[in-house]
Amino acid sequence: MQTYKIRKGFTLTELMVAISISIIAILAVAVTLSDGHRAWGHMYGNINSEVAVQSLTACKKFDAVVRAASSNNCTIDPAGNWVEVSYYSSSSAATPDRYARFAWQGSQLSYEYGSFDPKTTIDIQTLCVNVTACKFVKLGSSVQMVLTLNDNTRSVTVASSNVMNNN
Amino acid sequence: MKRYSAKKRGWRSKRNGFSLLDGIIAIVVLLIAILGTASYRYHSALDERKAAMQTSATRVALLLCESWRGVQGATTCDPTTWNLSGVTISVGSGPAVPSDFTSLNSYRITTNNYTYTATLAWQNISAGLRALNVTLAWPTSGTGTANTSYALTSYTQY
Repeated sequence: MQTYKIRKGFTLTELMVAISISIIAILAVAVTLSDGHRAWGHMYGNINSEVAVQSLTACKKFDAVVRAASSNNCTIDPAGNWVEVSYYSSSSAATPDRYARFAWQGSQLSYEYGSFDPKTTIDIQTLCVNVTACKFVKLGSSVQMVLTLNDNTRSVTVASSNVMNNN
Repeated sequence: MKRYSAKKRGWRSKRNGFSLLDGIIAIVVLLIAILGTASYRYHSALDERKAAMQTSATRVALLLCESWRGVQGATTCDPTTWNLSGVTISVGSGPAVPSDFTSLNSYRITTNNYTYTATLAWQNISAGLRALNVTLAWPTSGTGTANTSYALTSYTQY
């Protein structure tokens, strides 16, 4: 009497096909996840990277100081590496009694301020590092700043212009 | 061990595999998931670019407006002579001039690898008071026809 035996398992071919399909699926998911992570990191860096944050901070500082500055006492480097303005420390000040100086030196953009007359420095702060270019230009009663930061992973250029609103 | 006799060949065997319909449904579900992921990736990258271009555009508009205001809105102002490293300005075509405004000129501006077209226009509001308008336009996708714009108006004494 001929008998048939039912094998409850997979053949080697079935197993190989299943493993191949699984590997393809896993690779596809891994590539998608990796790509998504890289894209998210890029987007996050555009907002929160050191160069992005520092360039924004420098612009805000430059905006605030220059807008409150006196157009009568603005000195600018002919090469455009620094600019110095005077401003009123308070609304009760009769004349501009403070000075502020933005200067690009090496890879840093510094902000120095102090008493205007006699000239006494109160503090010097570093606004940015990784500065590869910074140029100040005076145009009428406005001062322009074009700042470029590069940390070898990304480069950011910000441009700002402000009118010195006081006399 | 269970054994079946050859004499019992009349029984109908039960197949434990997938039918064609099962396979098609699985493929459709997988395709929807893949297309959804790809669409999400594409739109997130596009929106990130849109946001970056919009941010850069507002900065450029403010740069043009404030610099022009610095020379009291002079009608002889020429942004191409400003010599700004990192920001390239050249004469070109630009968006339409707002009604009742007089065009100063139109420019092509490039910064951070983004290119914008800009039109500067002015209007005398009253004796000694002038409105300065800067309109920037750019293509959302980065190339082609400009389909997004940003306008900024400032006032100055002249």
